Amino acid sequence: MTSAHRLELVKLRAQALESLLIERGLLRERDVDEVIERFERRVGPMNGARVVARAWTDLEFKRHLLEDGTEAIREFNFHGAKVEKLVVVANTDEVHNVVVCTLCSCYPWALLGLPPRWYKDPAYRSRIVREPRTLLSEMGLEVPVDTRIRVWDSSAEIRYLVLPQRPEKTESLGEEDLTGLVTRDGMIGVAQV
Amino acid sequence: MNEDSDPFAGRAEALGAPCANGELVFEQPWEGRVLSMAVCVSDSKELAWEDFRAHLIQEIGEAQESAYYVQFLNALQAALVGEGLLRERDISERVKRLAEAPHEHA
Repeated sequence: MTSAHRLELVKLRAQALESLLIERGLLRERDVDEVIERFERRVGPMNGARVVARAWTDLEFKRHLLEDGTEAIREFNFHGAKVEKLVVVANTDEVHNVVVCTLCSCYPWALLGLPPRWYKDPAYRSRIVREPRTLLSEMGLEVPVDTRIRVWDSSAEIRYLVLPQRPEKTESLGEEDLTGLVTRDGMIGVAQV
Repeated sequence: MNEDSDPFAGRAEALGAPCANGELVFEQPWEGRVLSMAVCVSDSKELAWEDFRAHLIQEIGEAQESAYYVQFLNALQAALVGEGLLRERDISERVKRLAEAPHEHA
């Protein structure tokens, strides 16, 4: 069987499941369409970036965010954000934070969208705990030797978000422009912003 | 894990789907549909997300098939059959029927 033929069979099988589920009343086509659209567009790292940019420009919000992340982000009304407890950890000159889920792949998805593939990779999950400095360096992030690295292990109940340091020379930028600077990897802690 | 009307609630972590810059990447439209079907069916409470997830973990662990969404489809099918929601025979009959009328579903 050629790979094109195999793929064709897979596609047919997907269609078969969908049509049967619709016939059995277990699925509605428009619901499937709506979920696709959400996955593709609505949930993404932009939510997290907005939170970070707000914290960079509003000290009172930052204080609240670090004290009680779940409560502080309530005003953004993010889809699904109410499900887990959110703990936000701030990077400073002294401490660099990085997030992992050693057991599976728990992730602050309401803020960051779906996790990148490497986040689920057993190598990332074990090495970030064992040798964070080396792994971060391999991922392109050199953490200064006098900066301590803290690794936060996510769980089904608690999700962590890293608050990166505000980049230098961004004093003139407003919240919206700052949002564009924040990256997903920065909020996991495997990159600087 | 909390049950919620939100179709994403507590589930994205089970997916580990191919992403670029935090966004899902589908190489083919059927991949997106399969993923959404799993979310919708488990949303209807007929199939517990955890049951589906267990099938997915098993499927990925057995690694007979390396393409993520093929594993995903296999897991969904196994879960639906396992829960008695669909029968293998009906699925293969439907595949056959669709194959005989390919233009209808181009």
